[in-house]
Amino acid sequence: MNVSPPTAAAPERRLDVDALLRIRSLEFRAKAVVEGFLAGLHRSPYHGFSVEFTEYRPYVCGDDLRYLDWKLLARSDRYYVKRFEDETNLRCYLVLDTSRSMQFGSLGYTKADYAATLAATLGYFLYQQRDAVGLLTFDESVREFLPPRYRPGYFRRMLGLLERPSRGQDTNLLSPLRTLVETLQKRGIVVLISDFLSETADLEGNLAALRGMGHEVLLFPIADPQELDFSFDEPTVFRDMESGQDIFVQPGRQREEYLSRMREHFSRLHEICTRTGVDFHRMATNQPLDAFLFELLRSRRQAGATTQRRRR
Amino acid sequence: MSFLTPLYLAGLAALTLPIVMHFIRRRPAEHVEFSSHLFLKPFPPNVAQDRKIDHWLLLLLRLAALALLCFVFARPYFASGSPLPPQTEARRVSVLLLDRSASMRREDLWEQARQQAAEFLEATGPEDAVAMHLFDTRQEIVLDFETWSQTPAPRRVALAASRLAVAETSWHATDLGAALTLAAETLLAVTEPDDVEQVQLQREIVVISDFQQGSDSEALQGYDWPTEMVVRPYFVRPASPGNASLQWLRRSERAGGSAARVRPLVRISNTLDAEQEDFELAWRDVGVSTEEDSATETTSVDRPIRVHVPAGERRVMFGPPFPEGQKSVCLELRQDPHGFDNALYRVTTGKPLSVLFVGDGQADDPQALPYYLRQVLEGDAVREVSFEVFAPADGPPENSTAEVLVASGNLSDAWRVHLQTALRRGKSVWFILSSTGDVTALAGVLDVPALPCEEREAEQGTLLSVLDFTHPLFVPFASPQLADFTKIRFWQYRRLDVSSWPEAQVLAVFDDDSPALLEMPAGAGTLLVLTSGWHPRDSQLARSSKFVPLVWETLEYRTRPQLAEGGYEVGESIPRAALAAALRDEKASLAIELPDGSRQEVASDAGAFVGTTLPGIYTVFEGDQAVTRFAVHTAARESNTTPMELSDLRRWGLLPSDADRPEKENGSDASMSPIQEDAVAIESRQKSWQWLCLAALIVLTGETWLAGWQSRRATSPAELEG
Repeated sequence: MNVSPPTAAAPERRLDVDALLRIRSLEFRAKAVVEGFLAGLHRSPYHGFSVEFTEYRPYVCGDDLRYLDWKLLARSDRYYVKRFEDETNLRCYLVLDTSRSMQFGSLGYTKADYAATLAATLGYFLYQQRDAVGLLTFDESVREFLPPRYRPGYFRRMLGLLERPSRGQDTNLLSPLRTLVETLQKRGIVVLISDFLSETADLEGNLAALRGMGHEVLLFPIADPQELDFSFDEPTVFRDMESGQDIFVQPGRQREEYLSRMREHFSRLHEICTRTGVDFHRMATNQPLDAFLFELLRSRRQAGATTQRRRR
Repeated sequence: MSFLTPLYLAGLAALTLPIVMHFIRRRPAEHVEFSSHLFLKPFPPNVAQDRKIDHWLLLLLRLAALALLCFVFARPYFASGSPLPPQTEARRVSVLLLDRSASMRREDLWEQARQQAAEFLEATGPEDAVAMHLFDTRQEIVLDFETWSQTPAPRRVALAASRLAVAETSWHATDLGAALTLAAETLLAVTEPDDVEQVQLQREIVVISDFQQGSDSEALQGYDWPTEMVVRPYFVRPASPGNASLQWLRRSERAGGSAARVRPLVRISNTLDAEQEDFELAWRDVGVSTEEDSATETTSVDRPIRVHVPAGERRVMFGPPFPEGQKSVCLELRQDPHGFDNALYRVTTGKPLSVLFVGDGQADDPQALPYYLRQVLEGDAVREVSFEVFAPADGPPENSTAEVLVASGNLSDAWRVHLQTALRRGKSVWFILSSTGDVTALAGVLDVPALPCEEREAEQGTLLSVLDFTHPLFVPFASPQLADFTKIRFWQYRRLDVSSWPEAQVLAVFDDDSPALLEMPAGAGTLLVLTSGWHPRDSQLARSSKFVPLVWETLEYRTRPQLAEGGYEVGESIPRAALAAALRDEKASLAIELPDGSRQEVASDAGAFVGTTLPGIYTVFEGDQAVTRFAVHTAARESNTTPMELSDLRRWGLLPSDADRPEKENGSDASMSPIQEDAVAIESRQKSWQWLCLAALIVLTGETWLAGWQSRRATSPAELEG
């Protein structure tokens, strides 16, 4: 689990985010990330992160004997590796914040662009694996809800929703979580992508409820580099994009206070995640998107290991 | 340092404006959109620390510019700088110019003028010298400096007043320019007395006039007005402004067919300051009596015509028809507040123009000369012409009144004598050479040996090649659209050798340079010779469009002066020859009865009659018999009574440029104390405000440059980043 905050400094470039976000088509963007990522995964030890994915293949020398299907060997005297028993597909719920604050961006694109690309990338990746992907967008309330399905054309419908311009104002993290708690029947993964620029009270209870229902929950707080280092110089009137309120700010004098208050906010959020067993990955909008997939897979591998240990 | 108008220093309060604006500028005008204020707290601006002025130099420049402008308006001066030169005792030498033109007859203007003149005379000191001139188009010196100085000082004013009392207005127009220049010359001729050198001579011209725009100022245009000469205008104004006037125009018209009466074309002008705009036009009978303006004898002879003329405009219209049976008429403009110029006089001759033709051919024969002449003369709608045709064989009529004689053919001696007499008496003779034989008669009329002449024929027709368009006969044809004579072909003509005839003036020649039309001076009259006929045998002239106007121009063309039917203006001189035209004996003694009944003799050797001093009908007497009349009316420009602007006087250099108001000129500005007057004088000499104005301009230029430079410097880094 990634607990270290991202920095505003440009990270190691695996895929140029700026160039990627200049591609108009969201689908193209998602494909570019995922295919580049899969190319990088060649001969990698990861086999995907789907907990219930089932695979039979002939045993080759060097395979872990733990995964050998002894029952099949007993019946047919052949060595097959059986990875998992459960054959049901994964259900992934992409929960995306479309509030007004997501429209902030200092790099030529906004946090909303980045978040939509992130969601599309993840959706495409899972769609490639024939997993069911659903989408929920929210601002001060739930705007769109697309239940997880795997069927032809469903991914494009999801992309259409992602490309729809947001009309919302405020950020209310509780309403999507409550909706999910009330509606989700089957276990799945809940990926919450937001800037989390709202109060965190009552968040813990809802996250705990989701975890209690057996869902995997991943939080991806998105931040613009300028939000992270508050790199303003001139004394200026700052207008809140959500409330429209104007306040006079002297960045030189207020930077330290801003940064400390931000650190405090996200560490509180991180503590909540730790307590409730929720994955927490902070992302800056100048970070490569495949790093996000990498983080996700890594966390899934750990989760898978935990599951298998639980099974045994 | 003192200030002429210190109230303007209150404008220094405006200096707070730039200071306040420099503080206000600290507040950022733009805002930045930020995702959330979750981690931000409003920062209370620290007034004491933040409200500081960044651009000190700019602020100082702005303050300096404002302060300088305030000082400019306050008109500073240094009282201790240079004292005024001590006032020297001045001796005034004045010419009192009194306008007595016709326009001064309005209301009580003349009384006002005399009153002001009397006041001026009362104010003169014992050392002052005064001359008094009356002027209209003429200048009359009623009191000169010599008489003034020779009169004992206590009696001078009384003398001037007595001269003033007998002075009267005239009917003449105004020539302000000539009057002023004469007065100036008179003053310049006055030398400073040798015995009193300390006394400074102050020359001034005091003009008491209505200063109408119609007064002539031509004399001032090229006159270099002496700078030391002071002109003090005193205006006299009537209670009711405006004036309308009448003027004859040349053309008359017989409106409504030949049976209708002829109506005169008149122009009615209304001045710019007029309040009255509706008038009436009507004839007033002046009768044969010469008593002018006698209300008992004048009666309205026709229904008046109503006319509306807006202020400042002119209207040209036909007046009421001429009254029947009256030769001396007066057209009157009514409802005008000032009547001095409302009567227009006119004397019509009454008898038709008589034309006599002597030559071959009948008046009803289309192949003959008189046929075409009769068509022209008898077909005119306006002019009444009597036309008689005589054969050469007939003897000349006795007591012929014909003004124009047209001769052709081989004439008898009796006719030659008749023509010679007519020419001597100033009549007009046209001689048409219809054959080479006619030249003998022409030579007889001119009393010269026979002239060489030969017959010429042109099968294709010859044209008039050169015409003298400067001659009065051809002036109406001078414009390019009328100057085309190339459609008139001449088949037969006579080549007349005029080389032995040096005084002959050739007005038109044919293609072969032989003369077509000649003018010969003969006696007092006019002799025109045409070397071809206008009838079809000789040419196309009678059938061309030029023929009718050419005949009329020739009829009206007289070298001998005639009395103008439309009359003369007051002051205009009339050549004696014009007056004598009507006399039976040109050398007879001639007397003219003026409209007021007085008579003036015109000597036989006098060049002209110059006594046109009154408007009205003048009668010319030969002995005791009245032979003719002529009309005189007020000058048209005298009717423009709109007062001049003082700027006009300044334009001619008569007034100093800072004399703003007539009241000030009249010396009635008593509101200013002597100290203030000194201050004004000192300030106007020092003119510190001009330097301050220059300084303000320099400071403002610097401020503009500095502000521009700073704003460029502020924006350029951002542009580089962008």
